[in-house]
Amino acid sequence: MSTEKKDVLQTVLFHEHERLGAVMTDFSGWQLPVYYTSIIKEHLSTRKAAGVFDISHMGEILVTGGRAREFLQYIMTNDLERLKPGRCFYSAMCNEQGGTVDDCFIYMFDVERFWIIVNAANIQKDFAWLQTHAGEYHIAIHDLSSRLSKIDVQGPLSADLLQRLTAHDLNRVNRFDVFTAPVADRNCTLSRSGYTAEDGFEIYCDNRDAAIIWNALLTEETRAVPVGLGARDTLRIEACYSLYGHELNDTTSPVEAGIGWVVREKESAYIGKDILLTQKKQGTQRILVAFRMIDKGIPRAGYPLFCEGKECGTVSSGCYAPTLGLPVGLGFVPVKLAAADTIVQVKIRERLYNAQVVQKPFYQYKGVM
Amino acid sequence: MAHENPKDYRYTESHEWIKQEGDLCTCGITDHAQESLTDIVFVELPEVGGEVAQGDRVAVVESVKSVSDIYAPVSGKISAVNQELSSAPETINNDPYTAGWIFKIQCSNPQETESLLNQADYEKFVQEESH
Repeated sequence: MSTEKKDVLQTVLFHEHERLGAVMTDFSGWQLPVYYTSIIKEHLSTRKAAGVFDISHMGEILVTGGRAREFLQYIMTNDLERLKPGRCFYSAMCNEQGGTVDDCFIYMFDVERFWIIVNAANIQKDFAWLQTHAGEYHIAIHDLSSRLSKIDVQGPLSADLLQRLTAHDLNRVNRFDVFTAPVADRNCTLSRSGYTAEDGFEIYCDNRDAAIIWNALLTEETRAVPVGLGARDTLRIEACYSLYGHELNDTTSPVEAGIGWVVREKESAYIGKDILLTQKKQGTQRILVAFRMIDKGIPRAGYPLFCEGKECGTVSSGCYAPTLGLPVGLGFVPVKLAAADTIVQVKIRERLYNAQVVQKPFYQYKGVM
Repeated sequence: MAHENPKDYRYTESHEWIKQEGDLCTCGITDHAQESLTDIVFVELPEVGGEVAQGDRVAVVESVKSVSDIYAPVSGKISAVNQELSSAPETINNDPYTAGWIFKIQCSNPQETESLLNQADYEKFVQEESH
């Protein structure tokens, strides 16, 4: 183990993870739990019961002001007119070339107050990007990331579990609703959402309340287990959700990455609009596909993809998928190879392994609508 | 679920074990290695008959998230591989020192095992490595 301690960030729950015997890993400069017992067990527990995740490394950026919505309408590819107070939605934030600055969730509290939930690795980049374009809008942008902790509860039993800790009637909460409520008597902001394709909640709280909420969610009466980043990744791969740095980056557009539905035909201008809408209409050269392995081998990010003996693309994410019981991957290929049932090969340690393109996702969302 | 490191085995610093019977050496990965990997889901076995030198990469063990190379603890010819692992790679997690063996080497230089760690030294090595 390395003893080097160069600017390694820890969430306020670090000692809880240590106490639970977590194996830690470095992720975007953060020391985070990769698993506590086993990735497969944690993955399956989330699918069957409930998992509790420390996602405090992610960023929360507050945007306020009379023209906040107008500003976000210019920055974001999704249509802010479709977002209502007390709701959240997924969006991309693109550059002029259509590349993705970040993918994010936007929370609307009221017409003048929004949160943008961003990837840990991109907090500074996003904050700078927002500030650069804030010019004429007279809005205030605050990075709340270092003050807030984020705990996700995911899985079919997550509402039952959370209801034990809050008086707020969760039966009345729809998917993508945003609300404030006490959890274990601590004030929190919550949304009914997540990144696992299960029902679930994302809980935002002050750092000093995080351990209390974390431990309340993991008391012995509940069937919830703590879940590390390892299973968070396999859960999202089964759902075919993008991970920035894998399916998305500054030179990959949301259309190429298969999330063209967050690129909207808005009347007003927004950054990347022309190129993105052209891509939506005319298609792109390459596109993200999902594939399952036919031959025995596990695809990993960066492995080359082949078709008819020629290199045709790259694996962006891959793993053994615990729910499916077989290795799967996501990768970019030319559009003509993107149809379901197309056979491609993954080059794994100098050998080619057959794989079959399949309809996305591997695992369909199972939660409330 | 810790498995004891057998006293009559030898060990490498890259966490392989070797059980020597004459010039036939059975090899696998240690309990410490399987526990660090957890959830082994794939094993790539070497070809029987292939010549290997001590320290060569001969097999690959993959867990859900990681890929680990397995090195030949001694030089010689691969004389057998554990085909059971193709359909049940988790055997390495469940029984790393017997049913979870990976390959056998007909070793060309039985003295090579002398340079490997004994059980006590290996355990000391693991302890030091994790601090």
